[in-house]
Amino acid sequence: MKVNPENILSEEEKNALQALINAAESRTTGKIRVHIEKKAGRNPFERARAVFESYNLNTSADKNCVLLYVSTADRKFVVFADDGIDGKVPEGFWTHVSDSVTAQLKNGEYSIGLTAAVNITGNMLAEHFPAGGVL
Amino acid sequence: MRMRLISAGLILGVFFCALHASDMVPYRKSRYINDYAGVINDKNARDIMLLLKKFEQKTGIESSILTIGRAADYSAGKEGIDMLASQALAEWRLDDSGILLVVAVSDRRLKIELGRSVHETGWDKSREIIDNTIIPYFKSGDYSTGIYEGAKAMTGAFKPSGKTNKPAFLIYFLMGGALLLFAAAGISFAVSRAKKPKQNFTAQPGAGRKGYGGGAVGSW
Repeated sequence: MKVNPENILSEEEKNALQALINAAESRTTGKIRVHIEKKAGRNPFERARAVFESYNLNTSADKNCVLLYVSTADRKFVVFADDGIDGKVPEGFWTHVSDSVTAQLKNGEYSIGLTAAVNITGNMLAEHFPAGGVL
Repeated sequence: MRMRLISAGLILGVFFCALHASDMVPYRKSRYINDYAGVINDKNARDIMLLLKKFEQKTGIESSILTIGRAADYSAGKEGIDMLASQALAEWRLDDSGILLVVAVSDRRLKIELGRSVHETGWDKSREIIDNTIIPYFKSGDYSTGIYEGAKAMTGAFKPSGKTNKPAFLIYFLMGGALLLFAAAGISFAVSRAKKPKQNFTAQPGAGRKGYGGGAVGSW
């Protein structure tokens, strides 16, 4: 969880989100990271990929890391998922995540939106990449 | 000069059509669920999708669910959800044999809009589903379950009116389609075998990969 530039999340909300991510990650071998910054530039998806790499999320063995990226000035949300988890989710799943989150971000509900995203993504990761080894 | 005028008219016409369409009715991103209000949880969404898909395969009735914040956001202003629902039914091509459930969460309004052939057999059932199945869940704030249970009730209650000659037609249609598909697959396989040079696939390490990963971008 990266410190955000514009303090759109209060300290309390940040801690709650971090706790939620920890709880989600305890159920899966995948990882979830949230990155909030001001500007996304021309191509938000490519920017999200660059951020994904800057956190070294692209080197996981199962390719099952997910980045939730928010650009506050450009009002863009990107959910970026590595190939492993991307290959397992049903069609339209990431769009569903993105729609659920942006519906909340629209109303300024950053905390609620990101909480929902962590929950949905965490459940999906736990389903396909459960913690504690494969049977 | 005349040509120029005509083409300018055409461009303007297309522009206004597009403007009108996007203004009035939300874009149909997905066949079964367009959850713009973000109220349907992941599990319910998957269940609804399966349910509606099965229902469509069985009866030929295409159903879709739309959730929005306020109907006024789609310039459906005074006429509200009624106008929006009937416009969406037409624009999403559900007006012949389709069902559309629209929920405007912030307006606290919902509507089940029926296509022509469904309307003949089930016009009296939608009120019952709304009052007895959906509203109790909505009152407790559980939109997700309310919509799921509503969809379940819809698939139980409605059937198309002109059902008798459909299966036979459908079977011929499917058989013809399957034959065509086989032929097309055979041809394309032969062509790809003949033309394509053999590709070497190499395993790519994580760092420095380009073009990997999936996801979605949204703006607000």
